[in-house]
Amino acid sequence: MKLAITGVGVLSAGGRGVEALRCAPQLGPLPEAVGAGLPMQVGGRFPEAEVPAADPRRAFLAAGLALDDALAAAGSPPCELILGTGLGPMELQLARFADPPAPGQLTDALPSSLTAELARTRGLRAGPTFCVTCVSASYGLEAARAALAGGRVEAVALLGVETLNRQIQGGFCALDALAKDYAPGGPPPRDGIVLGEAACCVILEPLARARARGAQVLGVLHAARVWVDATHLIAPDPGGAGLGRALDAALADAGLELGEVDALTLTADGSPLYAETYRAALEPRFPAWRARVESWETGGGHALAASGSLGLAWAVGRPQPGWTVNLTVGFGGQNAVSVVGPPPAEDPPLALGEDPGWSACAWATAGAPDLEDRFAPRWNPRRPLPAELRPAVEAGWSALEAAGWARAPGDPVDGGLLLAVDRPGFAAAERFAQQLGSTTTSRPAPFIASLPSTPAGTLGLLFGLHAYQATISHPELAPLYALQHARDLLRAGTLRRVLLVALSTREPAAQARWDGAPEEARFAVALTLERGVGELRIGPVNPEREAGSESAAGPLLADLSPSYRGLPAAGLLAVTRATAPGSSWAGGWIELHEGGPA
Amino acid sequence: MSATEAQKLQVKTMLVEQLHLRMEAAEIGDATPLFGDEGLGLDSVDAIELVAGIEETFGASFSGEDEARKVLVDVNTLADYLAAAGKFQ
Repeated sequence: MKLAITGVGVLSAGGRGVEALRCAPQLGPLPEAVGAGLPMQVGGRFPEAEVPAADPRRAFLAAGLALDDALAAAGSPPCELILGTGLGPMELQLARFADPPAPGQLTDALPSSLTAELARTRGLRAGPTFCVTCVSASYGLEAARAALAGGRVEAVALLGVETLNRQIQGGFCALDALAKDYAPGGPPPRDGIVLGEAACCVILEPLARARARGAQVLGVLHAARVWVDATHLIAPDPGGAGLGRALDAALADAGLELGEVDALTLTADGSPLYAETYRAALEPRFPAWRARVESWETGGGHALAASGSLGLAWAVGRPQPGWTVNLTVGFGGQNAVSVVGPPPAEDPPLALGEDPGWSACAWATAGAPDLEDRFAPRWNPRRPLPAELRPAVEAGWSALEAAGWARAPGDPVDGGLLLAVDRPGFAAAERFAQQLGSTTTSRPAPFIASLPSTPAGTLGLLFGLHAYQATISHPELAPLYALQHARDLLRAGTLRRVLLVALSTREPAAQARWDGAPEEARFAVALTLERGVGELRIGPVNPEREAGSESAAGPLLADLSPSYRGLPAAGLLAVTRATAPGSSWAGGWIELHEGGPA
Repeated sequence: MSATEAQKLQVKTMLVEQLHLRMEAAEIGDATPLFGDEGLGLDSVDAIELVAGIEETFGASFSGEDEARKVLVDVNTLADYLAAAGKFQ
């Protein structure tokens, strides 16, 4: 299905609008609160008049401006809001870390709080929140395509946002990933990247629907694909195989030959590692590729999670219409490609598959002591897995084995991964903030641990799930959003198989600040989802309606200790028990049907 | 200047503590490669951690990447470098 882009809203260091992306370089010295003492102190910040530097709600303000502009341009169709953000409203988190609020008031600083508040204040439906570092909005695009193809929603507001703060700037310094010699106004750096802020929203809807309602079609999304190298937790595969695979698949979906491409956009190509990956992927396919490269990053810097939506905005804002192929890369060897071009003569409807079911389920509260040794080909067994992640590894691998998807550790598994987390990286982010606050140098490991995407990246690396690795974040409803997204992906044929893992963790130090109880609990549930093994119909996720649904599932979890019973991940276990053969339980957010496991 | 066995053990202890390795310091061989699939299997991100750990533990730093590459080969090369620089207590 081809998707019309009917509205665009952009806020960047250059100002408001797509045209501002083409401005002269807006990169400059960072304020003291962001850059002081760090090896690299240059970046691109939102204009003060639009987003005041001292406002801890900068991410809300910037994202809101981009969303409002896009909705206005598209004529405000009814939308589901899907958000991509690497770290969420980090300034608000930092304020919370420095000045702890009363217990129970931390949820407004989580990534999904951006989605919830923006949707509520604009009368939109709140969709999933993706935290997949620099390809967050690209995964949001996959969610939008799958949801629109299935007819679950009429239009999607795809929003990517990232703000630049000491946490991000310090983390990239710790990774030695930033340019060392760049001076404002100088040539584009080649020894590292320069970071910049951006919020970018595009309105997507089926082309036929956009035409029927008389909307202005700014451009058409013909294809989008992701593929994950999964060879390292941070670094890409320098051979570019994964990026090449995503590119080939996207071009094939679009029916486009390489010679027909008018423009290529690349992100983070100032990094020597990514520059090598791009060269390796593009040169064999497209000898003249360098002549077609365009980039907004020379003006405003690398905008992290917003990159995926910025590619779409850039494509429709080009002075010369034509075919634009956007390539976006992210930590862990994430590769995303989108193709934007002119409207097609015809757009046949997508043949949807039936509803998927689950074929295996496993849950765990801990991991075996020798967990690292099992994955030796993909994991250095001398490096410990984080304690918080061990239940997810145990449950995930058990489910893969039970479903017959896993052959041997080290072999790739045919399928994608969805990780649903309720408090993504929050405790680790606080530890990293404290470290940054007490020293001008920092280590890469604490920064990597603080990223909400790291758990999914680790699972994907261990299990060899290359087709998809996404993290969905929400304090209560992450498993439901993940179930809904998995169903969309499987019905639309984006993926053949999905391993869905829900992980809830309560670490004592963070928990005491969260709700006053120094409780420790780690609980993970894993499901293998595929078509042809039953039927699991999932209704629209409605945060307000689902607030009291936990108690309805209580009897299904009576054998669990109270520490685990109320965790969001336990809700997924309740689903499997309710949908097991012979069960007749019916809950609020899922329509249950006979079937269940094969 | 060659490092003593006690000094090498200090280096091994630093490696285990700074990189949170799942092994005892004494299990690391003097000539075990630090990087690559053989040996400890450290990677480029570990290298950054290691350089910071060496500075924090021994107060030693490298003049550049070339020097770091020559020194960060195994425990022998690292301990000898630190001994020659007078960085052991």
